[in-house]
Amino acid sequence: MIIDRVEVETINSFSKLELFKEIYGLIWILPIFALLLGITIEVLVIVWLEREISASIQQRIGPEYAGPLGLLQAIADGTKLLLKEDILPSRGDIPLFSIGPSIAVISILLSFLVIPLGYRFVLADLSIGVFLWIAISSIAPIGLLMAGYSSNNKYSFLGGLRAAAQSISYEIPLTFCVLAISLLSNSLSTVDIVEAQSKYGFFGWNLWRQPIGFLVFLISSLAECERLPFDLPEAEEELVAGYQTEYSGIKYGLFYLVSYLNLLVSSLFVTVLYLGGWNFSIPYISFFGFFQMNKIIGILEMVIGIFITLTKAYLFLFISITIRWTLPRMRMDQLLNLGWKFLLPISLGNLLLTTSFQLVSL
Amino acid sequence: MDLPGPIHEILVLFGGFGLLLGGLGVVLLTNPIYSAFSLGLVLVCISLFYFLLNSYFVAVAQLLIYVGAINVLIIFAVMFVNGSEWSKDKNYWTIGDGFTLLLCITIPFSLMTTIPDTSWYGILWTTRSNQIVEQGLINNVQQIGIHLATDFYLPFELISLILLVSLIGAITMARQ
Repeated sequence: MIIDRVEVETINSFSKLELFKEIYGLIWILPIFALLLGITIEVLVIVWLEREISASIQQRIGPEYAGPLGLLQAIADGTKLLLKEDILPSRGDIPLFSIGPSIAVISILLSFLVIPLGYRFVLADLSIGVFLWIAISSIAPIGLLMAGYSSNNKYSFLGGLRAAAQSISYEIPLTFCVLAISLLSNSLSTVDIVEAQSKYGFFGWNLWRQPIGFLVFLISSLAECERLPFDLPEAEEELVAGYQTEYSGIKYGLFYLVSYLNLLVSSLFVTVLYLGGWNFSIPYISFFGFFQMNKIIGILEMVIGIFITLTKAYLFLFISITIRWTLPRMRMDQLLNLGWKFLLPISLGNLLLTTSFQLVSL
Repeated sequence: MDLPGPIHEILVLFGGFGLLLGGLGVVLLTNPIYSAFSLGLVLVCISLFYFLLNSYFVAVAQLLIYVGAINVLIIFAVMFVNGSEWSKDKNYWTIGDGFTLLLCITIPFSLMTTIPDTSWYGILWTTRSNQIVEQGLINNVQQIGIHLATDFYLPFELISLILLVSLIGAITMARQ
């Protein structure tokens, strides 16, 4: 048996030249950097949007000096945070204090792996795409717990515990909603989920087939992002700033980045799961009919697909930013009651309904 | 995952190194909070191995259940223990420790010698049909494994309910 294996290996190694392999390995890294660059630009745009929208809601002017329309304000913020002194708490746990923010950032960045931005334009079309996102977003609280514990500060500690409790309890309704969607499209892969909604344009969206699921998903994704109606972990009046209290400089900047990356991920997932992804929303007009006719047309279609996805995602982002600047914060017991006593039974009922309809239609 | 050879090897080495470091960290670090976090590292590295072996579902389930649920709960519990009193008392090297070390080192070495000797190809038949399995594998242990994974799958899983029952029992006893 050992001999067999060796033979197979030698055949494999003869089929591809070593040099080709190395070049292929280098090319394989390029899309990752492209995606990272795209994500960074998108986050900068979100920060600017948040500032502008909150200004217009509160009847202020908002950023206007940094660049045209204040577009460079986010870059100015980032540079300021980068140049600030990195203060370490003297009696804190320094190694954990430094690792905490990076774990939070890495775990969010990993979930961009499975988001399809355009037609077949996805970094890794895994067969378990959405499941990967759920699993990875359950790792993020470890980073927050680490940050809260290592700051050696009661407010930070309470903030970390609250963050973990909140994200664990809202993960469950979120997962049930995703499960219902994957039942409807018979797959966990994000690409297949979008393909299943592509038939009737606007009317084929999962939003119409899963209205309850959409609402539950909306609420629990806001809670996962720790946005304002649910920003208990960093409630200013109670906990100073929660787990970020002791952080300064670029480490604080990383937490800032995490909150916006989280918002971007969840709005992209709302687009993919409920709003039809990259498909054009007017029925019977398809951009993808004459595919493979020409290379330039193919590239054009890809760009249009990315544009449509991002437009839908930013429309959703507008809603969540407006919610942040209109609604007041909940209490901790109200938050947990909403999660466990309201959203969990409703999402379970939704899943049951979906399953029984699927069984009847079979 | 269809990765080119060198990158695959680098990732395997990276995962194995993380696994070893994390495992040693769980045992050797005196502060329980560090042990809990390095247990998390171990579990993440195991799931990385599953990713490299093309079994995505197992990898993601590992991440979700072991890292996302169990490890977070462990960290939750350990955080409430006061760290300073644990790290103060120095551990003395006793005969018992030496004996345990010897025992623990022999287990991985015996596993490392048995794994290359076992014919793993025979187990491939379990996925195809039950008849071939019965004839092909005479070994007792293999028979038990096959029966657990095919005929007695449901009872085997139901045994895990005992854990739930004991948990509920503990809660009711603590409440009284």
